[in-house]
Amino acid sequence: MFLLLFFQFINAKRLSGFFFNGASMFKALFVSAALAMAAAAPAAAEKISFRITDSAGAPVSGAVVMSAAKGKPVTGTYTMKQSNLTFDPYILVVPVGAEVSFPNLDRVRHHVYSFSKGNRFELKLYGKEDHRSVTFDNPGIVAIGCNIHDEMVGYIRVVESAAFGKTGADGQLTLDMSPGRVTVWHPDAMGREITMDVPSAPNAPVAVTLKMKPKGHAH
Amino acid sequence: MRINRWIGASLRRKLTVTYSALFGLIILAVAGAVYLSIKINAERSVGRELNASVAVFERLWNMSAENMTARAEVLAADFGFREAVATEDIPTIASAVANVSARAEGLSAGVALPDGRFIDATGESIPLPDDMLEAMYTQDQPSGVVTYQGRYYQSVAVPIEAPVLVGWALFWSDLDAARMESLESLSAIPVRAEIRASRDWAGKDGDIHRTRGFIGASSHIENFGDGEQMSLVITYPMSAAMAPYRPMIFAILIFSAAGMALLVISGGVLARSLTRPIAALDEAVHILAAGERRPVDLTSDDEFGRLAGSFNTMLKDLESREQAIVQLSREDMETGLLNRRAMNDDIAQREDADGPGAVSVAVIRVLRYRNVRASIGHAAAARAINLLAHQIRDVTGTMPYRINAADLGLLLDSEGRFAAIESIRHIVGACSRPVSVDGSSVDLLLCGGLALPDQSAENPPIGLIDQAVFAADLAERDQVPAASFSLAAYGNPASTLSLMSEMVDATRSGGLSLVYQPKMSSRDGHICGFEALIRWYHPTRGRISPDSFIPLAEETGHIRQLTEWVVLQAIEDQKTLRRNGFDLTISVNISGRQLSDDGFALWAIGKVRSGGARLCFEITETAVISDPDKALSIIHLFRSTGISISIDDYGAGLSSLSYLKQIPAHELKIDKSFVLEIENGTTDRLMIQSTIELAHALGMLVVAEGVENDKVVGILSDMGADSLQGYHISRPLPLTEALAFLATHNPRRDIA
Ligand SMILES: [Cu+2]
Repeated sequence: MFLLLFFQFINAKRLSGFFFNGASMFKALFVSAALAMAAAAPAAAEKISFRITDSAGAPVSGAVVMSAAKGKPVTGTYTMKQSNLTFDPYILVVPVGAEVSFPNLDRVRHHVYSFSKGNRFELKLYGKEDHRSVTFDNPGIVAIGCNIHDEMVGYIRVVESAAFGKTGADGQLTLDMSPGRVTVWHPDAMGREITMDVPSAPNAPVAVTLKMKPKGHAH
Repeated sequence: MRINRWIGASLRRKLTVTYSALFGLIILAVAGAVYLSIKINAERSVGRELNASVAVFERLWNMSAENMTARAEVLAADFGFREAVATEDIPTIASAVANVSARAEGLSAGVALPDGRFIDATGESIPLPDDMLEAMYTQDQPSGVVTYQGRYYQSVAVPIEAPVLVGWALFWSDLDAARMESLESLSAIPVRAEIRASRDWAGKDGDIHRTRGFIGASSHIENFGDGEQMSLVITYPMSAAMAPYRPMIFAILIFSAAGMALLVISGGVLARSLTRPIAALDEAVHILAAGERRPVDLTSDDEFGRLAGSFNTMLKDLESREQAIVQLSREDMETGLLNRRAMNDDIAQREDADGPGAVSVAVIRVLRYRNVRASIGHAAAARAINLLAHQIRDVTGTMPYRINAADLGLLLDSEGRFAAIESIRHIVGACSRPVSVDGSSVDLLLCGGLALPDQSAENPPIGLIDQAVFAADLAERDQVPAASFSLAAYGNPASTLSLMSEMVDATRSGGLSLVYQPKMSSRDGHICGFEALIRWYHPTRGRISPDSFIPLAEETGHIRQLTEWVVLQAIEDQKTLRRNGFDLTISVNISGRQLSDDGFALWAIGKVRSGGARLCFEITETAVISDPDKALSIIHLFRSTGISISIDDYGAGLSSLSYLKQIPAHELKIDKSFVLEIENGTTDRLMIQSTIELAHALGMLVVAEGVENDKVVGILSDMGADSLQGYHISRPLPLTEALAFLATHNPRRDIA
């Protein structure tokens, strides 16, 4: 495909939007692969560590790792704050059906919205005193913006996985999971999500390298 | 070539044509320069206007792009619009762009989706060209010209973010004829504006470019996508640029043509006034060359006038110099007396004045003048003649002419023969006395000749002067004081002349032949040389004696031709001898005249060299005595080129020891008159003996001629004569007999 040749030049915000809106083909592939894995005999859960770096070897924080195996129940509360005209966290991973609250810590008001398919919502202008939350019922990527502040961008990854999480600032993550297929995703990585098979009891953290887009602007 | 000749024939034409051509060239150059500067000027001013138009266009282009970008940004920022695009709500998108298109006159709007679909106001979805999509992905706000289905559009794209990229808002305007016309209308001059592929326009941005009949300026237009690079090109026809100057150019042409015509006419007039005096001088010179002297009639104070004055002065000088030359030609250079020519002129003048037979001619001759001259020298002899002339003038009252070296001529009034002879006798008597030259006394013995006009003779054989000279010859011969001319004594000169012409013919036709008289060595009896002697057998008169025709040839100047024939024949015969095995020197008699003739000397040397001949030239002492310096130099010349020299007839005439010593001869021939007497007296014997010893002392060999018998052979051999010649040895033999004679006397040597 002609367009792929130019991905490495494309602004991060635009690219992720493009994937979300234009390339649902990839998601379909992923889902079918996950179903195939689920049909296989589930192995016993164990602690598996991941170490995600970029091409230069620097740790990548916020990278989402999710197992192909489904089934994690909705537990806990999820929050995506707005402070200092940014979404915090930048990336949030939640199970299907989770309710995410959007507290506004700024003195200005925000108008948060997403046009992402299956999870569209719009929280019209609200302030510090107002409480707003959204329940995400469909798996997928939710790109979140503010109609007042165009620079505000955030992502919520809604998953069906039995095991999932995101790396910390050190790029590390440990999951309780059965060995098997996993998917690694980051909105600022180039190309598609990475899908891989994790063997039982790896003697070192599973190393994954993401090719990150050049940093276009601050989050 | 013909034009060159036509121009070259006359100076006037040459001047006219040359200066007209020159001025024509200058006019052409000036007109060319003016035209060029007008053209450059026109181009420059049009160029400024074109560049201004281009600048205006660039500003309009940018303003239009900014306008479209601003509208697109407004659209892309609208929340509802963004939602419609993000959710790919095609009808809503279409209605939105239709709405903004309607608001902005002349503009159209549309939306591109990230997958390359393009939605316009009609709601139809068409794929965007890949290069446009690429430009939108890679550039922030792509803007520029788009070529679509052969039409050009100015277009901008602004990304739509919600919050990630969901598409682009596009605005464009048609770059159609109406838009170009509106641009053209902004220019002060009627330019033509068009969008062209840049490669179709050779000029650079900011430059004025000239193409066929047009000048133009251009500006590259930014491209939307990577389509072909386009330019805005603004052109203006050159003819329109030049139109304002056309009357000026026309005026220059008219003035040039008028100036040219004026120049040709005035140049012709001026050239004519210039060349007229030259033509006059030219004519005068031609007249002078034809022998006539006519002064030039030209009075002006310029160079031509001065030249004409000089020419006239030159004419006068020429005239006086000519008179001087004529005067000189009438004078004898040695004595200053009038010469034979002057006398002839004067006779003719007298006869013209007084009728034929008006004058008689007397000749006073100095006897033995050669001897006199030989003893006292040329200069002194000439002074003696001059003194004699004055004596004669004293006696007769008229100055005589010098007509020959020893002859002075006088014009006598026609009187009776007797009276005339008497007056000559008187002169001879009165003047035959010594004259004093350079302090020494010189005896002058005289005789005289007279020629009277003979009215009866229709055609006198020779002129009066020559008749008088011949009469003097007669007087000298007869040893009388005076004689008059007699036709009988003169003989028939016509036969003499014809004899000579027949002799010249004989040198060509073979009437002449050579015979060879052998010279025998007294030492061994071998033949050591031949003397070549000439024989002439005349077809009607039979054998003619050399004694009769050789002196005649010397007198009449035919001796050179005769001698040349002898030399050539001798060289040929010597070759024959060599072919038969005999290499002998052949002696040839050379007359005294040839010893004063450089031409003959050079000719003979050339022939001897080219023929490889071995010749000996026999000369007489008297030949040397007449002009010793000249003769000796020629003898030396002969010697130095290998020709032997023999002194012939020694003892027959005047023998001068001083000349004998000077002549660098190889051989001395004792005259037969001595030898013939040898048997008789002792005097000759002593003389021969002393001559032989003298010759040997001077390094010469001695040949005795006239050997008639055995006794003489013995005597001469005893005396030391080196070789002998005479009838006792052999008579002169024709070549074939000479060869036979050689065969019996000499051992044959083969010569290659
Ligand atoms: Cu906001």
